[in-house]
Amino acid sequence: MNNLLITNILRFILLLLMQILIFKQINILHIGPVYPDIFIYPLFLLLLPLTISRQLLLFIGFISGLTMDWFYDSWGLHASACVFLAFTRPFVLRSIEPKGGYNTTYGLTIRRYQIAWFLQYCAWAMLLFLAFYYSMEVFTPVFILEIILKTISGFVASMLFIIIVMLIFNPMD
Amino acid sequence: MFGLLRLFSRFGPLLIFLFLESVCMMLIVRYNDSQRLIFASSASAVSGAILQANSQLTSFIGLKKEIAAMQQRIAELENQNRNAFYYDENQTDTAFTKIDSSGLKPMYVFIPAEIINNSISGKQNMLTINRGKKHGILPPMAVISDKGVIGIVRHSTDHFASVMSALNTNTRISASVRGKGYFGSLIWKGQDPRYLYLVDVPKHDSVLKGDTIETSGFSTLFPKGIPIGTVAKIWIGPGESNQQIQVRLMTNFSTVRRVFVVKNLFFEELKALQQQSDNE
Repeated sequence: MNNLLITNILRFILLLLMQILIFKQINILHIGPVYPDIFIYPLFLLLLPLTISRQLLLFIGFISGLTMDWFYDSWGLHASACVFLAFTRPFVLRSIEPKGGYNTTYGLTIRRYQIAWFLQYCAWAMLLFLAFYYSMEVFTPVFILEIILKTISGFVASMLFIIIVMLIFNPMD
Repeated sequence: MFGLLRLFSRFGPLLIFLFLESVCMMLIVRYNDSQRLIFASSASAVSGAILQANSQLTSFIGLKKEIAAMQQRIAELENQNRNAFYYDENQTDTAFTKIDSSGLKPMYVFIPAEIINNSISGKQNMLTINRGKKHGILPPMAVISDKGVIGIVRHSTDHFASVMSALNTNTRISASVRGKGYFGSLIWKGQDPRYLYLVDVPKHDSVLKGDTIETSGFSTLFPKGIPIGTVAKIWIGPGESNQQIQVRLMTNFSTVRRVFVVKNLFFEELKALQQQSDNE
């Protein structure tokens, strides 16, 4: 248990540093006029243990989002998306539950489950996260096209780097 | 308390989610310029709609007060109407004495009142208004509405006055045809409360259907030119020298509420004159 706590804290710090030192700076890739944002730090929320209570998950989401806002100077934006992700994570997990069910002692990783399952999990979660994030960023349904375009481009870029990071570190739990 | 705990244990995550999201919203709107502008404009659109609805509601509540104020204002304006004045222009020595610039002396004063009791079903209909001696109302004074003649004050107490309605078989009001000058008496025959009859108009006077009937100003009570109704039907009975003119009233007596009592400032003088000529 103690081990898990330390692992997750370290993981958070690592992802945070990667996010703000590397992925925040990258704006070379672009699809037409749209520069996709790359978000890999939601991976931290996705990899939290299965047994964590929903209430605690929400608070962790809020805190981690606020930390990210601190660096992005966009108070509340990342926090709201993270809280949304934390809220929807149990529903996503339930909808893509594998045949044998979850093993509560396992982490939600590629090594514990198959890569196909992890891709599915990650895709749903990131789609929800990005859709909410860009809705909050644009803040008006008038530019719905912009929201969709940004979500799709951000989704492709983020997923690519999340999988790369996941395969490099390839954690057990 | 137990119910609250149960509620929280059931919807806890949802409540926490909503709480945290609202905190985030506050932060977003507070610290991010573009979102703040969007929020401010949307909020003003919403609050504008709410405020408008509120003002509609409160204006409805305040309507009664508003109407009273409006009626007061109408009374003031009526007091300035030319027909409410006594013309003092043609003095014999106008060339030498200075007269006040307008040459008008106020003759009629209008006092706003409200009908609190009304009937139209009988033959001798009476009304009650909520103004009396304290407001300067004494019999006989004329009562009019914004659309025409209502009746004549018969009795007054300190706070109330009873009015003989125009829909009373005893009422006779001197009336004339607007723009033509033919005049007669307006009576009610006790049947349809929508119609009065103008009698004593000689049959050679060419009154047409649709002509406006107004007060003639010959009585001491009504100022000249107050509209009463329009000519609905004209006929001459066999062997009669006068024509029968049916007048459609402009005032709907079954719904009228706001009226004005007309006070003639020269009433005593006119009455004294009449008495003198009667005595001779």
